[in-house]
Amino acid sequence: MSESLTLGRREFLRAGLFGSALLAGGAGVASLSGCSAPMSAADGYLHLRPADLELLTPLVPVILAGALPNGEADVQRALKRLDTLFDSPSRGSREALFKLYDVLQLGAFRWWVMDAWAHPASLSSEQIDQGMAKWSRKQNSFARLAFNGLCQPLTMAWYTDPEIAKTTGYPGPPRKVNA
Amino acid sequence: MNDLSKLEIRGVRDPWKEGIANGWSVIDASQLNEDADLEADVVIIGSGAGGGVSAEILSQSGLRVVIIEAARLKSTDEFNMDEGEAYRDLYQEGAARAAKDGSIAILQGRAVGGTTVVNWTSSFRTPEQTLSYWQDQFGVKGLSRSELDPWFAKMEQRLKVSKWAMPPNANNNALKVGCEAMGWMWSVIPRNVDGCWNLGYCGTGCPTNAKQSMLVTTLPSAMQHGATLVHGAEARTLEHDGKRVSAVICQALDARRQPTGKMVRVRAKTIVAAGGGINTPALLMRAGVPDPHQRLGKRTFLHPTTLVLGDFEQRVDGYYGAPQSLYSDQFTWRDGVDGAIGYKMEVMPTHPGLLTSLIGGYGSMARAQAERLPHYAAAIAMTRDGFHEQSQGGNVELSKYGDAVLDYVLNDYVLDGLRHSHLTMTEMLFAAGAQNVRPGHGDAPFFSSWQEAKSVIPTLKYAPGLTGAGSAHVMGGCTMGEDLKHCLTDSDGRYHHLENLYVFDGSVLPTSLGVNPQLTIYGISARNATRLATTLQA
Ligand SMILES: Cc1cc2nc3c(=O)[nH]c(=O)nc-3n(C[C@H](O)[C@H](O)[C@H](O)COP(=O)(O)OP(=O)(O)OC[C@H]3O[C@@H](n4cnc5c(N)ncnc54)[C@H](O)[C@@H]3O)c2cc1C
Ligand code: SF4
Repeated sequence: MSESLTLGRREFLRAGLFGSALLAGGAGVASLSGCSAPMSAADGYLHLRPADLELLTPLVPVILAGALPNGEADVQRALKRLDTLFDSPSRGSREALFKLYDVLQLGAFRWWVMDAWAHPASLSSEQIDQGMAKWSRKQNSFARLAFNGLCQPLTMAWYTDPEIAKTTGYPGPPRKVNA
Repeated sequence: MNDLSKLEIRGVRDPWKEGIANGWSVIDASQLNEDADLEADVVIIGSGAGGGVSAEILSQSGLRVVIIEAARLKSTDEFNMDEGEAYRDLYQEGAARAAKDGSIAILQGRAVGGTTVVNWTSSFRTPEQTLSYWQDQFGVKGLSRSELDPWFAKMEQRLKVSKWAMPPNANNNALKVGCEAMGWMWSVIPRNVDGCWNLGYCGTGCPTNAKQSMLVTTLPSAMQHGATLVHGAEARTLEHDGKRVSAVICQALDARRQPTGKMVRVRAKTIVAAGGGINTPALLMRAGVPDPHQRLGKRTFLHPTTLVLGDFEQRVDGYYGAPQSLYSDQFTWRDGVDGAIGYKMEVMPTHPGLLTSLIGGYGSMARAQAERLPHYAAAIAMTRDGFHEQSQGGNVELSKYGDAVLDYVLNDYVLDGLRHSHLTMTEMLFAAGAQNVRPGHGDAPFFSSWQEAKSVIPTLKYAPGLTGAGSAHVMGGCTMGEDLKHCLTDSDGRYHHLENLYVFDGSVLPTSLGVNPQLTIYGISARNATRLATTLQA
């Protein structure tokens, strides 16, 4: 009983610190994370930076579990599709998404949402899955907005692939034949 | 099982290909090698519901019209029903627009033809209650239901609006069966279609020209009357002296929406802003137009919308067939016009990209739900924001790059309505025969009985990020009315603080509507563009 109360309080404090930093427009986040000053896109990508790829590569097979028919090969394809998706938002909106990736570089943030300090690259899929499960149940708006910000664009990028769309049982659209 | 993937759509004309071949004046700004300078009687910024209707009326009256559209022209031949391509090419921010805190996904069009190219064709006249509220609260004049009815009738005729006569698809039918079982009202939706193939791809650009969007109706007519369309050109600012606007300054955009460095300047005696909610206020903010009471971008409304999925044993195939053909107003005015927030119930189509991302979650659970996609009915409720002091809507802001951002916070007043709608739609879908039902809330599972749902939903925390919320209806931000303290345009759409600037789009609406907005915008824009044409010809 008393243990859960202390935990609750600590959670609140952490939410206050990182939550407000990000919500205030992320001015503080870049400096908090140190390594996340705007960097240029990774080779072959329009927007995703090397650090984003390192972060997302181990997360994708967990977030899209069961939806990657070609296994590992699909992880890269999913990241490419995500990168393409990021080409359309306005610059300001895109930066907000990147701030989320930046904050995920922080061990303390990961500890708060996933109970894991370590970088995802050094966690097993099971550990990431457990962390995501914790995160997905947090009763804190900021944590949940961040969770959605991580998962939703990836899901949208993946299931708009016509081949993947069909794995839901959707037969696909009619065929347009132009004169 | 329904399977339209074997169907071939052949023999459909592309009015723009033909029109351009016949000499329509179309400028693709992305291809400009040098800055361009144009002159017109009227320049219209935005080619959607308001802009399209205005372009037709003003050019038919003999005025020289230039239409500016940020999106690049994409027309019938290119409408291949690919979801990802459609979001990229036909939606604001590639369909990734959201409220500033990320709590509400905002779908809005960005196309030659505006949001009408991707909307779902539901066509309702503005409710009398809404119009009376505007009269009482904002001093709106001349827009009572009886005064607007002739304009609605005119636009219904122009856009072939009639009640959908075919049987509803199974998704819509679930709403009917559920409402009947509950003893709730339901009715048939009027749609703006002509020879509809009942395919279900209204949201990705109609491949058959059946949908009477601006792309295939008013805009081609304006072009035939000598209008010029400049596409791939985004209006960034206005030249004005605090009294009159003299020109619109646009930047040319390439296929990736990046500025090419070339500018288009359009000088005109009259300026019509028709960029829609969020975008029109953002343009006027960038331009620094007079706004003595700081009203620009305030009172932006969204019809914050909830989703409830019913999992049926039989396939529903909700991605096929006219997407919206039935509705229920059982709860639209549940506590009067200005009490607890009411909501209109409809359904939404279930194409995989959009629906899986709205279902949310991650991992094996998300996947298991995605695999039931063909079995889902997807009921939605659009809450009527803006009729209560606890419902002031969102505020448009500019990012440091000058792009529009909407700060809209889901407060307890709205959240209570979202919970209420989850309860009613869950009960409705069980009554319709769904085996399992899940409200769009991150903590809600698929419930296997109404008893279970009824005991759990009231215990869930309703808060941004936990509660799923979306919007396909951006309204307001340039409130019209005669009360100068709260309103930016008069009831004819003229900007109160500049002589020759008019706003003819959804941004003038003082509140949300309680119905899908297109016919309201068509009707009011037709009235106001006609009045403007008369003034300019005098
Ligand atoms: C998926 C979806 C389904 C919908 N379904 C329905 C429905 O069934 N029934 C209904 O009534 N309504 C529906 N709507 C909403 C309806 O279509 C819109 O409310 C309506 O079209 C808005 O009209 P508007 O004139 O305000 O702006 P829009 O139609 O959005 O047009 C504005 C245009 O201006 C352009 N623009 C903006 N700023 C600039 C600038 N600075 N420079 C150049 N161009 C600019 C934009 O790119 C856009 O093309 C739906 C919307 C969506 C997204
Ligand atoms: S349902 Fe009708 S209007 Fe909609 S895309 Fe299909 S043919 Fe066009």
